[in-house]
Amino acid sequence: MSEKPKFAMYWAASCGGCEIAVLNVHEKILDIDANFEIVFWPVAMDAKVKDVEAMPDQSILITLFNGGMRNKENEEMAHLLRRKSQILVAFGSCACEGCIPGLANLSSAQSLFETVYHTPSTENPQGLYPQPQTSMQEGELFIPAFNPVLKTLDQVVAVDYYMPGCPPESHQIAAVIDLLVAVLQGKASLPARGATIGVGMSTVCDECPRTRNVKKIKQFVRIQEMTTIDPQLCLLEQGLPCNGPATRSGCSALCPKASAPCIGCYGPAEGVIDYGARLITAFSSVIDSKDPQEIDRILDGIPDPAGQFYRFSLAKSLLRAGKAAWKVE
Amino acid sequence: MQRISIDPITRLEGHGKIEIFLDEEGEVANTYFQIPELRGFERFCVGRPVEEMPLLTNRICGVCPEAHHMALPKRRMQCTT
Amino acid sequence: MTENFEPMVVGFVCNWCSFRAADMAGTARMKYPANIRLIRTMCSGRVDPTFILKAFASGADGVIVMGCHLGDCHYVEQNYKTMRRINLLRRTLAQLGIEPERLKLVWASAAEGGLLVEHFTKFVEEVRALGPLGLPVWAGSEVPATGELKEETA
Repeated sequence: MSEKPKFAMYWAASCGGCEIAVLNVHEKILDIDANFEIVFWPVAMDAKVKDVEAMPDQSILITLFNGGMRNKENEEMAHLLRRKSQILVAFGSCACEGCIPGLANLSSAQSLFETVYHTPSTENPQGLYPQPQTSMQEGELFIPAFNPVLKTLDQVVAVDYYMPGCPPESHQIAAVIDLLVAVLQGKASLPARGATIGVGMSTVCDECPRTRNVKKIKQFVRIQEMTTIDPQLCLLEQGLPCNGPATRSGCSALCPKASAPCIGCYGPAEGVIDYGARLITAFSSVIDSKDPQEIDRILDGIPDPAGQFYRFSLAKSLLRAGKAAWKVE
Repeated sequence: MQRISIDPITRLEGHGKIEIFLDEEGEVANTYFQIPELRGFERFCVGRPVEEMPLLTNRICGVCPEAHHMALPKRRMQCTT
Repeated sequence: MTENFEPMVVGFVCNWCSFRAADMAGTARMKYPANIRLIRTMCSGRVDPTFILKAFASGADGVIVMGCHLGDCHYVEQNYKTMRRINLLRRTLAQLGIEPERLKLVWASAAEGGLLVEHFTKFVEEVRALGPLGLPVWAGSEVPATGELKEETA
């Protein structure tokens, strides 16, 4: 009886949405079960870290690794699974570019702790903060040290493939499962190492069915200021800051189809080094004004540029973090 | 004192580990439940425009994003009425 | 604080006006601080915010972008786009804790070598007063080489 190749999925600083997205492939999960032996997947089965440590190096064929590198345990698991896996996939926006938790890079770790452990609904009269090591009567207790900035997976270990999305769409995950099964059966081959998989090759605008005209943007509005949203017309032309122009296709433009401006969860389009920079240049190019004061007024319609342009990708951007967080170990 | 480590806890959402200390009779002397994760939503949501909140907080949990998403409009309605 | 801080400044100059002004300054032996390293683009409108961010990420303490006067752009209207880009980028940098004064946009024509020297000298002093940017060289930013993928899969 031939041994099935081994499969693992792990979450670092994540929300669990990627795991749900994988489970949302519905019956196709049986294809994973039929073709792979799942050896480590904390949400779904009871394997422990020491079980992974006991496996021979490179014995896991493929590991889907989601979540960002927020603390030392995340980094240790990344190194461990890199050693034990032949193929390591940065799965989901957190692992690929930091995702929403990357916005914590605008603040110092100290201010994070001060806020989290002193919220209005937190009872912490002694002002305690979690410590990496605590001495209790019975012995020493350890929790992982907190990193000053959140990093992406490839800023810690070598990554073989990227699968962006917050979360990656289930139809894309199903397509990748099909590809893997075909590769196992010798009917297909994997793309070159370092490729981004489960995505389109263009931007969200290409998948968006809305009518697009030559852009002459006279104002940016906040969505709650809109009384009606034209269902046919491009959202950017209606003044809603839509990140479609710089965001990778593959999600089938679900949000713009529902009149919600694209927030950029599928990450940068092919060839883009700094996602925020590309959005800055895209928006600037289509603003219809030559007067500095009018330009200021129009740009005031985007009250939070860092959040708008780096919502998912701050940790992967060229600067990676705001000045408050510039403290390296 | 014997020590049993359960790391990680499995088949639920989130990170956790449990340290169990047994006395000489093999009875549980003490148990510690630890959460080795923190992302800081309480901090980085501050300063973001109010319409961003549902987009940010539903990333607190991928199993129950709807709950976090709906809490925001409800809270905002409380603020404005 | 560093007393002998020499700012490292990157200057993006457009081919038709500002680079020719720099040429003219050189021919006329007008001196400007060696702190500024020039990068020539065909138009100031070619200066992608990515270039500016890369300059800061690579150690620049300040970035100056110089183009043709408004209305005189060799490519007609592209310097207006530059104006909008730099505005939006400065707002974003401010939120990242980087003083917007570290990024400057000025205009000069091909005949204004003296004005270019004035702008450059002034900007170096402005950046000197701001101090070093202090962006850390991110440890672990170099990804180690991957091992070879095993042929056998089952």
